Amino acid sequence: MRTFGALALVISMATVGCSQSTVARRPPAPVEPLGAPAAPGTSRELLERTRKDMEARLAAQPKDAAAAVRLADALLRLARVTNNGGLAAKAERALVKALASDPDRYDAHRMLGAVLLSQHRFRDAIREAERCQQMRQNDAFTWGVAGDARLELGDYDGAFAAFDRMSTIRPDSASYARIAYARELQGDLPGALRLLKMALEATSPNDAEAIAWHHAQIGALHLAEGRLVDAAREFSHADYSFPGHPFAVEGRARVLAAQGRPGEALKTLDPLLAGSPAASTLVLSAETLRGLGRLEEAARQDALAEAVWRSDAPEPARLALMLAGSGAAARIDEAVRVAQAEFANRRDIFTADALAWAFFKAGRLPDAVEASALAMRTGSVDRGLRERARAIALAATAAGLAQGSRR
Amino acid sequence: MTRLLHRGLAGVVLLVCLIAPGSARLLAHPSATSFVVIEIGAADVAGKSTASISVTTDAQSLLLKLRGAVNRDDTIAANAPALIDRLELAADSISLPLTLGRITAPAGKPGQVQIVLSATIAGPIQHLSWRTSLFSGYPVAIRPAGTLPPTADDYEWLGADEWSTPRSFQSLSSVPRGWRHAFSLIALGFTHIVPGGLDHVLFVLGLFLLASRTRTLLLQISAFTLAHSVTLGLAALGFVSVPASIVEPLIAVSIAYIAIENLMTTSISKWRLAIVFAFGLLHGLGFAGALAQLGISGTDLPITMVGFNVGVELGQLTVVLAAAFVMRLVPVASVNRRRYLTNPASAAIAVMGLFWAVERTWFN
Repeated sequence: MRTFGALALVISMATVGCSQSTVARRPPAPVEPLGAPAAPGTSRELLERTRKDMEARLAAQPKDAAAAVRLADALLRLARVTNNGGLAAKAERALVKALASDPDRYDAHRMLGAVLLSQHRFRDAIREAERCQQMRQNDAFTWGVAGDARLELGDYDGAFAAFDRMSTIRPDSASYARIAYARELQGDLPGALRLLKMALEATSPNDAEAIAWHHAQIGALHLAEGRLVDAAREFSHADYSFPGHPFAVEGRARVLAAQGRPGEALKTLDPLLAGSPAASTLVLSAETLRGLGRLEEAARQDALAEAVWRSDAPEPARLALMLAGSGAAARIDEAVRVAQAEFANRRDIFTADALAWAFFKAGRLPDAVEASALAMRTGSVDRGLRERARAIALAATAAGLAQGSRR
Repeated sequence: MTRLLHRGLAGVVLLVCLIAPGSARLLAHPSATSFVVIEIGAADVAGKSTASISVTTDAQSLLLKLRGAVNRDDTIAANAPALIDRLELAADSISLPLTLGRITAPAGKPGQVQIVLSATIAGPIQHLSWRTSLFSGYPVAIRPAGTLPPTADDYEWLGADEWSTPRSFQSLSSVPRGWRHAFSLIALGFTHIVPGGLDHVLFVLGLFLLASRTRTLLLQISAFTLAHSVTLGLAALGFVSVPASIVEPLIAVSIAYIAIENLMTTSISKWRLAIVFAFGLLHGLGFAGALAQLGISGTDLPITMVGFNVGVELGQLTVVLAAAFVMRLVPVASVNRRRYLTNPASAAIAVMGLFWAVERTWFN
């Protein structure tokens, strides 16, 4: 009897031990993304609350990977609506710490890819996404991250293929939005609009920030096609869904400016300008001020935009365009240098466009023609791109005519 | 000799394994154009401390924010009041007056400017915190003076006008001591050689390649060590100051010299030790420059120097032992060693030294 009891005890302990080790090997349940039906919502208040809660959890338990993933998600969303790039850095740090103690934590790697993408570390984002794809082939999210990064680097074929794969795996709001952008880049604005509306319809009602974002993107397309009333409606919806969303506020200001109401446009921008405005907001306010004849104030806003593009949120292509447009020889030279350096890093159409314009302003017409061809290679109908390409083409034609007459 | 070599190498490998995790931490830097480092000095007998605030950012961008436009004659110094107005260091929620100190251009960072300000902290306070409206999304580190440079983990990322997490003044105004601190200093010196000091590594390899006997090698290394310790000490204490633009190219020339001499002779000349000693004086100035760039200052400078120097010596020892080990592994007979190892390696080192000499003279 005693022997039987001892044997039973040993067998029980062995069974419990094996089951524990099985539990330990089972991967943890992935954290639901914010805005999903079963996850916290993405209104400003809820994002801040999620941030505080997750920071408190991590302070108590630094190895809590689930908290790190959710914190990173909240911080990325907040970065999008507050123009605070430091939040992405905080998100990265939280994820890196989580991965230090749990290197195979899939959702942490997954989120890290998105964080790297938001920091414009495109090659690192691709590397992280590919690592995730080796772990799990059919996660649409990672195909989206890889596609976005390839797009920014100018690998449009690779990007579009990734988006196709993404939508095949999971046709949802995120994949529709990406295919919409792919269509827009290729000049198909009606197609892009249609897909963005599908993306909006597919967005969870719990995801206020994404709803606002989609409305703002639709508004931007309406604005690009001159449909001011439709644009105003979409930007208002965006602002209603997520009050003070910078894309919504800026969009409303653009519509007002386009309607010939610059004073109201400036007033609309006030809340953004009082905080930490994005360079695009500063440029818009500068344009509006110039329209009102307030040239000194406009110059100040332009200077602040340049400062942002130089250091706070570096955008070399935008900086190069601004410098090239200044008319000053030293700044045009700098525009060429900046654009060339950026083009060595990424060959997307907007960087090519900045390079072309810098060359053009520097009097290097053959180089400008070559870069302009690269800028127009996807068929984009972006107004700025087309205007600059037209100017370069006209100059090239005139130069060709001048050569002909000399012969 | 072989047993001694293997034991020595095993010891160094173990040391590297112990140092490496700490050194990886030490090598991290903030990946932002703008960042702030605030050092709090120890309190004096009257209970006063000095806070030194170092703001590093893009110079052009800063002027644009302060002035709204940049003219050729604009300087940050001329806009000091506007700058100070945008920075805030608070002791128990009370803003401290800031005084502008020096404005310099960090070496190797074109377009960047480093602005140092100071504030006096009088009387007992509980917490310190910081904010600025100049940058959006930037890292700030607040630490005791005289400690190692902050790592990525020491920085807190803030938004525009966002207050940093209040830091306990008591923890900031006391200087860390003990074996842990000493070990960190040694790690810093070690990583300055391996892997951070390729030029010093090549110089030591150059010495090694011509030394046919252990005694010869040890004499050279000792002369080098003594010399660089002297100038490191003198420079770190402020008695000697030579610009990096002079020191760095000369270090490159010294590397090329040693390697070229290896090619031209098969034995150590009677002047070799003196030359190595002279070059050691030069390399010591290079080490001091690196130490200064890392921002180490304060009352613990002698301890910092000793710890750093010990780390440098261990790094050099690692290089020598690793080279000796590789030589043992390569299946080349002693008579052919010069032809197949010494000469090619010395030629490569000479080329590298000459390249650096040109690069550091004309392209830096």
